[in-house]
Amino acid sequence: MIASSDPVIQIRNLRAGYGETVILDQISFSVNCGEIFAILGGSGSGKSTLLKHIIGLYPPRAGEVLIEGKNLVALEGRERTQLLQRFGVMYQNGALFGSMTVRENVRVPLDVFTDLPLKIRNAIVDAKLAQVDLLAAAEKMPSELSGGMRKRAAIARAMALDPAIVFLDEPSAGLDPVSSADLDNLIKRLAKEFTITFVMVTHELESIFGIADRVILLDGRTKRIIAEGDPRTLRDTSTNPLVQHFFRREGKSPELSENREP
Amino acid sequence: MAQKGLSNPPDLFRFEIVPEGSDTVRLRLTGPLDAESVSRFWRPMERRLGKLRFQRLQIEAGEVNRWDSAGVAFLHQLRREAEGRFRAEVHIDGLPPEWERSLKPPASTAREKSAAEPAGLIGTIGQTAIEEATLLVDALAFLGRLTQGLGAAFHPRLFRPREFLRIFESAGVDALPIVSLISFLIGLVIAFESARPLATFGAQIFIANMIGLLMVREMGPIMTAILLAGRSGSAFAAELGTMKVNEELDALETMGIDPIRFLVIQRVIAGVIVTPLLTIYSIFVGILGGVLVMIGLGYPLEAIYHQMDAAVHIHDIFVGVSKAAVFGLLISASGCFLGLRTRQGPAAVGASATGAVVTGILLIIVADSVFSVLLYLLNL
Repeated sequence: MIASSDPVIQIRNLRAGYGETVILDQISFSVNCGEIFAILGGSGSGKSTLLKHIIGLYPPRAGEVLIEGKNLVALEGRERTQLLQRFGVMYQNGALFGSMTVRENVRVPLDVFTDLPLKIRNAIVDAKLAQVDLLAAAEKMPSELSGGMRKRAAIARAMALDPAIVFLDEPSAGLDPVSSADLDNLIKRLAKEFTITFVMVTHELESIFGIADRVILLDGRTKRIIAEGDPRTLRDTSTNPLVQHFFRREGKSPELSENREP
Repeated sequence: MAQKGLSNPPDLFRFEIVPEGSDTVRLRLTGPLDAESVSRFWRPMERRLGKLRFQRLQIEAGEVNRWDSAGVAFLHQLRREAEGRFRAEVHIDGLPPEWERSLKPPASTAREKSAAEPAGLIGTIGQTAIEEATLLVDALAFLGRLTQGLGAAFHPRLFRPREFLRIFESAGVDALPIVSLISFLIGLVIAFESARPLATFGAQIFIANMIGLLMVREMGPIMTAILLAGRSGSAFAAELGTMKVNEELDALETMGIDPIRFLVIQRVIAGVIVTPLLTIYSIFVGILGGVLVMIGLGYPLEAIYHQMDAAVHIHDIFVGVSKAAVFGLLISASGCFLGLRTRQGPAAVGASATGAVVTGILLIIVADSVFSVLLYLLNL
């Protein structure tokens, strides 16, 4: 990993939620440059909610989210746009624009934010598509792509403006094990070759042990982070039954057995 | 299966209600307590229990030989009602252990339920009022952002001319057949309907005035706008709604691209341009329909032309076309607005599309009324 002392993302005492519901509380952690960082948790533990708060789709109820030291929700206008260009997001199903080809999709950020001539913009798109091994599908519409190809196209689009951070929402959701492993390898390669920090939300053990450098584990019941660190170490040394249940997927769920006794 | 003596055949449900002392009632159940027997016997059991006064209800279910969820639910309900109505103590004996868990009195659900329950009539009125108020505030904010975003029309990369042309084609060119048919028939109908009343005054030549003015000032713009609300207003809402559900709008947001400038402006401008054009076309086709009827009634084309020429002035056409532009703005803006407001879930896109048609037509009629009054006062 390329060493850089300042964390690229810092979350301080974040309280996340929609409307009056609080989903997560007192969330603090930081992500270092060049890391593949995973946000883990079972269904309903609030991992997607946390992601949406980090990328600024929802304002924090309390606390703050700093990306490269700047608070996104407090920024406006040009400064906000500049910070938004420092990261890209791959949404769960790609969120490609359905009326545009893959090429046009990847070109959207370039079209809107750069003054480069079309030829150069297209060349950048070619390079990005080559990185995700999707050059052959450049002129196809998103509806003609498979789930894995859509996700790779979305990663290419997220990287169009050479961001420092790429967020991935459930990269392996809806993929077969082979496509999922391919995607993992792609992420690992991109992180290494371009020093991009990846932050992903997932519950897929294969990806977690395969590529994640560091993880946090969220617990929906207590609304807190219950573990943080290297996934293998957590699996092998943690004494918390919830952590053990998550990483080993064996035995009775501690949550369920507690519910049985009122 | 024949059984000896008085013992109950195993597939026959029976119940006995035995009052004991002054305040205890014993309910003995035998045979299968399942969906079938519950649906047959719950009413007589309830009726007979309801006639009695008791403080203790002893339910003996030891001889029940078959259980299902209906049977257990029945006992559960019976206990709730006896506890509620008579404040009676209820004991159930002989319930199989695997069902016992489902009969546990709910500890906390009662409280949670009341919190989730709608707050009665006044609460509903209040909620609706708040929802409508936020809708209005959101609509005003949308109008503001729309005006602010108009500059994007001159930003070729945000405006995306090809996308604009695609919308223009689907909202305009593709609507030509249906606009032709409807307008032609409307013109025809107006002519036919007015032919007989005007004939009583010997004034059938005035059908030309009628058709000309009605089509130009009223029917042309209104019919075109209603068709557009049904075709394009709903399409805009469904397109943007689907994008919302697919997180495409979130994607724009995190790219730092304003969805209003990227998606809405082109649609609104297409609506404002396409509606007047379609209206002019609709006016011509409608007049054609009416003129055909007049020719059928025996009037020469020159007479019809002169009559209509005298009746319809250039400012009437101006009125019709301006109305159409306003209608186009209302339809496309409300369609986009409702599309962007789409909630999550598969039914939400349909709801937005329906809402766009209803809102579009409502706004058209309201705006048309305002136009009528204003134009009358302005003597136009």
